[in-house]
Amino acid sequence: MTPIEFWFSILLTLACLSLMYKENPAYSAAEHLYIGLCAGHFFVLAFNNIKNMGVTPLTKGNMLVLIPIILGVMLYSRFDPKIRWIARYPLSFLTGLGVAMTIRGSIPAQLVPQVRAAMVPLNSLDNVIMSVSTLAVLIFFLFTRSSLVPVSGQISKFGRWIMMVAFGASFGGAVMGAMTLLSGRVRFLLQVFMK
Amino acid sequence: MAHKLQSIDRRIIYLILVVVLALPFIFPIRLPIEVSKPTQDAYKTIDQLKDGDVVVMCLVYTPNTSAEAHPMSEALLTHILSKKGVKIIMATFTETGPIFSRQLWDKFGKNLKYGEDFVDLGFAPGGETAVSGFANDIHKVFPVDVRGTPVGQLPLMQKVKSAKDITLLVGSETGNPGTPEFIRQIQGQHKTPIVAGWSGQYVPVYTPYYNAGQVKGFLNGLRGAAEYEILLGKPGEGIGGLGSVTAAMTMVAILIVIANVTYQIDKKGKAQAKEANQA
Repeated sequence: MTPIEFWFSILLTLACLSLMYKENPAYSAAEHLYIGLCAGHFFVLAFNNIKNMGVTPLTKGNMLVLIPIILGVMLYSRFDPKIRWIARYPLSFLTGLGVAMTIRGSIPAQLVPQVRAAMVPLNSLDNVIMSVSTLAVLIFFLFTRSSLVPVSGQISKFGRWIMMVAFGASFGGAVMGAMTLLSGRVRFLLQVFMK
Repeated sequence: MAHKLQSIDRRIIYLILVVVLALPFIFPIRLPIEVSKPTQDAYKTIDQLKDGDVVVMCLVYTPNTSAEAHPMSEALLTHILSKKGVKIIMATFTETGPIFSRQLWDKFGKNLKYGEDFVDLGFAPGGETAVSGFANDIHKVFPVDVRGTPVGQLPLMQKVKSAKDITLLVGSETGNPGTPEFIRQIQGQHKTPIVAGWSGQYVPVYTPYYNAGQVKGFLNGLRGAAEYEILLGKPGEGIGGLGSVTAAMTMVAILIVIANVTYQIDKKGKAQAKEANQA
């Protein structure tokens, strides 16, 4: 990092952190700069992708890429209310493709191995907790439970607690991520004073 | 007192937080770090790589999560590079991935030969569809590398055409497409082993993949990076930042307890006052 880059980073970091005090022009400037940079970065990436994956193969005689190019252009019809309906076709195609792609991989790669992994011998506390929790959470999602299992209400409640524990752990992880980010910035700023 | 604590100015909390985060850098604290089993498994899997093996490294994170993910990437890449003759392909499915792959190669790639020892394929759009395409035909999804060179001209890529030619997939992730997509499209279809570095918030969600043996090992955010650095014997960003994050997390936990206790006291006080007024 050159000295100019270093000091520019310091200033931008301070500008962003200044929001902790209150909204101010320095923060707004840093925010707009970030948005502008992101827009520029994504534009360049999109341009290169269209060039590399669309235009270049087309110039080499690969006419098949015309299909995704036409579908892509059709998406822009949504900007004109009169021909907005045209955009539904590529959107349907994208949705169908996405769903098919996910389902194709989900059953052999996620559902079956996960069910298999849940079948564990009840010879340790870990395994017992895991099995009971899995069953309780599954019962929570059985919406016709009252007619199937007499005590399903209590089990379902237990399943909800288990999920709360998982959400809490996940939230803790999210807070840790935020603290890590702030810690990295604080360390960066300290470099100035500790040099 | 409880009411006063409830209405404390948030800027005071921010200030205390920044001080708490900064102090461990000024006065370093040595924390006892126990290396967890998932980290050990990740280390063992990478340690078994042999001469000629091909590792694909996917960086799926953005600047706002890089503080957690980048130390994991550095630790994992340090280990992979220590294995003689192992080839590395960097590929990302997140727009900001190439920024971080460039940072990694600037730091670690000085003694490596581009095109033979490592290749940076850059970014491919399409999320899970791109991952699926990558598994079946890498050259179609990445027709050119990050420098604009046709991938067919790179000696390493002439040998690597699909996921079948990959020995190990290493993901450093804080978002999508990540481990679930890699499992659905790569591990499930081609049995390619996966080692991952996950952001802390994804660990409870993704751990079942490790328990099912679909992920060989994983790193848990900055803590995972610190554990891995211990195994490598090379302290880095992970160990350096862990003291600061631990101090901040302790403070957050204390604040949550104080907030809940004062809320209950305040609520009880208001109820008692209401009863007294009615009487």
